[in-house]
Amino acid sequence: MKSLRAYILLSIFTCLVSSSVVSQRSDFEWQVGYFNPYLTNMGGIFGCAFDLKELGENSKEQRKSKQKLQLSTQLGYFTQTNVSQNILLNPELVYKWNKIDKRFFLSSSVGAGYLLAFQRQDGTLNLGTGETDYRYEALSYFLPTLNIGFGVDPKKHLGFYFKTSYGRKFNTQNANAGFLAISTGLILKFDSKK
Amino acid sequence: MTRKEFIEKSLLMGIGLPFLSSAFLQSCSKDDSIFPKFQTNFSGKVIIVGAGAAGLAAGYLLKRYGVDFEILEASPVYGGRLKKSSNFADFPIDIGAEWIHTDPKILADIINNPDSNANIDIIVYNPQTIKSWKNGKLKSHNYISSFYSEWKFKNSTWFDFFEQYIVPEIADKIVLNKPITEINYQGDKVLLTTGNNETYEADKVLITTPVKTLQNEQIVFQPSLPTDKKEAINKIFMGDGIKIFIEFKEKFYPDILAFGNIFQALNEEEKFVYDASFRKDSNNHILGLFAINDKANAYTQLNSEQEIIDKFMAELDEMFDGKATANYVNHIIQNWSKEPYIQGAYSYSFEGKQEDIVATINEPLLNNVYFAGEALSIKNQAMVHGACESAYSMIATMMKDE
Repeated sequence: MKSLRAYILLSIFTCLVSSSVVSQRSDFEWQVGYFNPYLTNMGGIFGCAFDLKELGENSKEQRKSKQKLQLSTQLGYFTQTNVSQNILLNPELVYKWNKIDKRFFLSSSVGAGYLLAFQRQDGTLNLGTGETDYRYEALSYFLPTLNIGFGVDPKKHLGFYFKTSYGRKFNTQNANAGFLAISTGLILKFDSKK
Repeated sequence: MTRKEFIEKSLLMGIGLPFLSSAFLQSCSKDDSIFPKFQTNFSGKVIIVGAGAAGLAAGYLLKRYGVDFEILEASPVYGGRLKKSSNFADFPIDIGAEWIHTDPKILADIINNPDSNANIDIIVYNPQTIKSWKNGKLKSHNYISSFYSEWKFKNSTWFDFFEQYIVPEIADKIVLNKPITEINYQGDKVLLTTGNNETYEADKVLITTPVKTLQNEQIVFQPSLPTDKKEAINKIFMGDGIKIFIEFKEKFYPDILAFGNIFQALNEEEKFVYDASFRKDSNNHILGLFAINDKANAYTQLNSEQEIIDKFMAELDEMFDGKATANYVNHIIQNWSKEPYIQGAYSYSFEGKQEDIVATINEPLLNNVYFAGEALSIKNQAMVHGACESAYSMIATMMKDE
């Protein structure tokens, strides 16, 4: 549990630092989208990303394309109706590829997420009103993911992305399980000097 | 969208029951109340045949409207396929109907008493460890917990719910050990004859016995049932049913275990092994087996309870490397196929369009004899609240027919 707490703090710290850094850079972008784990759970995701490194252009082929590493952090929320409310904090290292002068990009990334699930365990039903007062349990998961996606970079302010994620939820209190999600939404850039 | 419609749509999409997320199940129950409101001038007597969920609910509704009625039950106990074991574990076990397949507020709807201050503890049945047994191998499918959830009673049972909130209102109207063998509906009054030749007389009759008993013609109708109704009754498939509970010294099994292809198994819902203590207030490790139709035949056709438990234990030992025998403490078996007035599990499938078959059966005989039960609920077939819904609906129709 100590390592989990340390990881949560590190994730929050990473998010805060990256947000802070991002806000001072011209290459930062924001993402806001629809988050759909397992195709049946629903929620939203908000994130930011900035360039870490432009990768080398040594070969002729590479000169035709642009490749870079980004650091991205996302905060997601999703719900499994009648079962759980979930918050996901997900730092990612993103590899992004696109052709020179083209806005369409492909991306792949590895994420090291922290998932906090508030899960309904049991409840008390009032037979007069039909209302149930539920008791929740907070469950923490380490959620490493592999992601692939594509999108269109903003021309000025507005772009688009689509991403699929596959990973595994690890937890000391409960059963480990596979994780699958899609997310799609907008890429926003407020500084288009580049 | 009804539960059944959603299952069909899920199947079309090739995704099956696990995707029956409670979101959709809840949407099935949001439509409206199953408790009917009507006005009636009926002043005669109603006899309800069968004191299972439908029969008890029908009596409860008639009592609410001040109608004279009597419930005749064939067996020595009421409840039908609602049954519990109080002594086997440190929590009461549903050895009949067990899951609440829709939002628990359906319980409040069934009793329809806004003044009630009673509370019922329930669990969110969202199994976390899910495995399948296929080709001699156990395989994990824990991700299914992210799609699937239902509810169960926590410290009580379906039987307790009826016993505490339905039966006290109507206890004096339930007559046990009265198996009806003949119903004569050709006169102004309906005459019912029991196995020991007692005769009851009613203005209207509601038959709530399991469909299997109608198929086996345990009740003879005078005049005999119309051909279309007989055919419709025989187009409902109700297979065998068995539940086995075993206490073990430790838990070596997952929260739920399906057999064969996981999606097909969860969709067909014919055989499961599950942790019956899951989220209950219990220190016991109780494993349950639920099997219906052909999957139940393998057990129900054996000659003795010893043969049944030996067969099931051998299966568990094969799956869990002998841990079943090593940890065995005790067991109980409820063989629903051997219950003389039930003879199986519940309605499972229909040979033809369900709506048409149900409509044919629901058509009253000379406006005097009506049918209700879990098999005759379109929206909630094969479920306890479906039995109640069918009974409420049919009583409302019966009273409005006056």
